[in-house]
Amino acid sequence: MRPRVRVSQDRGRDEGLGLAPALSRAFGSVIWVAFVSYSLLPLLATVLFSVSEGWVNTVFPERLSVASYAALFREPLFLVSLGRSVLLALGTLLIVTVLCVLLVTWIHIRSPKLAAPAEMISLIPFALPWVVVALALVRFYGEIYPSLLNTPLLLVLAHGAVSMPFMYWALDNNMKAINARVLYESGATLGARWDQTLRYVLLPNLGPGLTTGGMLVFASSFGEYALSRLIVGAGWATLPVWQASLINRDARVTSAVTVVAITVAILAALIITVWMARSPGEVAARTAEEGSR
Amino acid sequence: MGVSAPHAIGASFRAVGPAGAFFIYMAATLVAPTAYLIWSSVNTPAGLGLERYTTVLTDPFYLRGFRNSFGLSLLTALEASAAGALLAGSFAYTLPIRSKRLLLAFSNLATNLGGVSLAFAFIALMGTNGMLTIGLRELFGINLYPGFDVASFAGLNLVYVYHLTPFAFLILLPAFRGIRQQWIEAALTLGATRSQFWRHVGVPVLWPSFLAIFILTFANAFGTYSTAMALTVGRVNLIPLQIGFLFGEAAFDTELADALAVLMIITTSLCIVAYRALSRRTSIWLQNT
Repeated sequence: MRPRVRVSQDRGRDEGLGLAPALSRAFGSVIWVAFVSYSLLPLLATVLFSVSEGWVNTVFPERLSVASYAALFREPLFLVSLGRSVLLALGTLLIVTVLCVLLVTWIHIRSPKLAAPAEMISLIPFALPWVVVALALVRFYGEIYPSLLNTPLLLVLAHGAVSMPFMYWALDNNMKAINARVLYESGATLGARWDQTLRYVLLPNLGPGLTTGGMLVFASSFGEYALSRLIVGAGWATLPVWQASLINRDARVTSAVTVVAITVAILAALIITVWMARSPGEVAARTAEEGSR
Repeated sequence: MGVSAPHAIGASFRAVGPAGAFFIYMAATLVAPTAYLIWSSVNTPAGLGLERYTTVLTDPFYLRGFRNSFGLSLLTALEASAAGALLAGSFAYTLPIRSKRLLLAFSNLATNLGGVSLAFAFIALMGTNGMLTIGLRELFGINLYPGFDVASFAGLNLVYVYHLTPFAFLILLPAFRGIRQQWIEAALTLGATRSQFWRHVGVPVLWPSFLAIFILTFANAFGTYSTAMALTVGRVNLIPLQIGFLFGEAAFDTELADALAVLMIITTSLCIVAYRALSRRTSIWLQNT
């Protein structure tokens, strides 16, 4: 009946066309529809729950209201813990950015030999479950410097350690893409010191790496629960720790917190992206994809 | 060898330069504490020994914890990497280009959802008063409860698969893209069928990537504390939760946590080493893409 449909769809397909017959194309769409639905369902349920009223025997809520959000702002710990989580994520971002910029710059312009040990060390956070990281830090500093225990300082140091790889990989890819070594040598020929090259040439071109790395670091620190609970716990409850303590409370309020937490994480990702997109950097488009591997 | 020791140290200082801050930081936060943990696990009141390991590995309670952790992680890893492979295959070969950017961004977002928020989102969906629970009951008369419980291994399995599937997809995608159009053209020209191409070329090229992502998702699920704790409030016996209890709640022999932790480190480190070896093997096929 509609002979043109297949043709117009085919124009949009890429070079992998010959690898799969038509039947599997329909199959592929079905798989993706299923995946996207599965991914959206819990989010939809949370949003609906947070704005619902009297939802017991009906498929959808009987009435909608923002009462749970109003109740949320009456909770004394809500804004406090939210503020702590934002502060913690920003602190983590600062530590990780400074250390990784120095490291990656040095590797690419002076000491390529350091790449192998840096690569190996950046794998450690993947080999260590975070509950183990928390235990090791508490044991070690309990022995050598007990006054650090239960402090936000130890927590931000822990967050910095486990989120280091995100920034390291993003910046490392970025440096490779802009040919940092050549830029440095050109600068040196013209009489620039390494820190001048970093300040005026390399940093302005690190936008894509800082964006992708920064997004991952901020999001993972903001939503992190294991280290926060085990290192500072209720003494300095972050948003996820406070959120988890609400498990037996009114489900509408817990859903409202969840909506806020997910929204902040997504907003942060968007803000960093927009902010970085305005910064100079000719290679932005090219490296964005590589940095996000 | 002609260089004197102080000179060599000075030279290596200059070689490390400002990058040293990174190494000192990681040593102070990860390397030294982990080394101390390993030492502490064998440092018993009666001198160095493996007492705590024998205690942990003969205690039926912890043995069940290990069995649960392995079982849940193996099942999750198998499901997530199989689903990730289906997604990557259909993404690379069948989807229209227009939808691809959006779906990539969506997968990135989905894989970064996790921890407490995701656990609570699943409670809103499949808890005793969840949207799906109510919907199935009112529309079809199907009662999820008491046969199902979101705060159980089945629930944890669903939540883990939720964020590990897009993760597997994103990591597998380059491997699927590595299978070039020219390869199948060459095979077809030489008289092979499509299924012969996949059996003799496609699958042999792809299986190390699949195994690699299986191992990586296993290690991730095996070490997860936050989602399990938030969803079940510690009501299931998994090793990460037991470690949390032992040192969080001032339990009887907190050093047992050290032995459990070292056993976890051994498992996950082996996974990461295997993952690296496998992905180096796959990178041969991806160099020119």
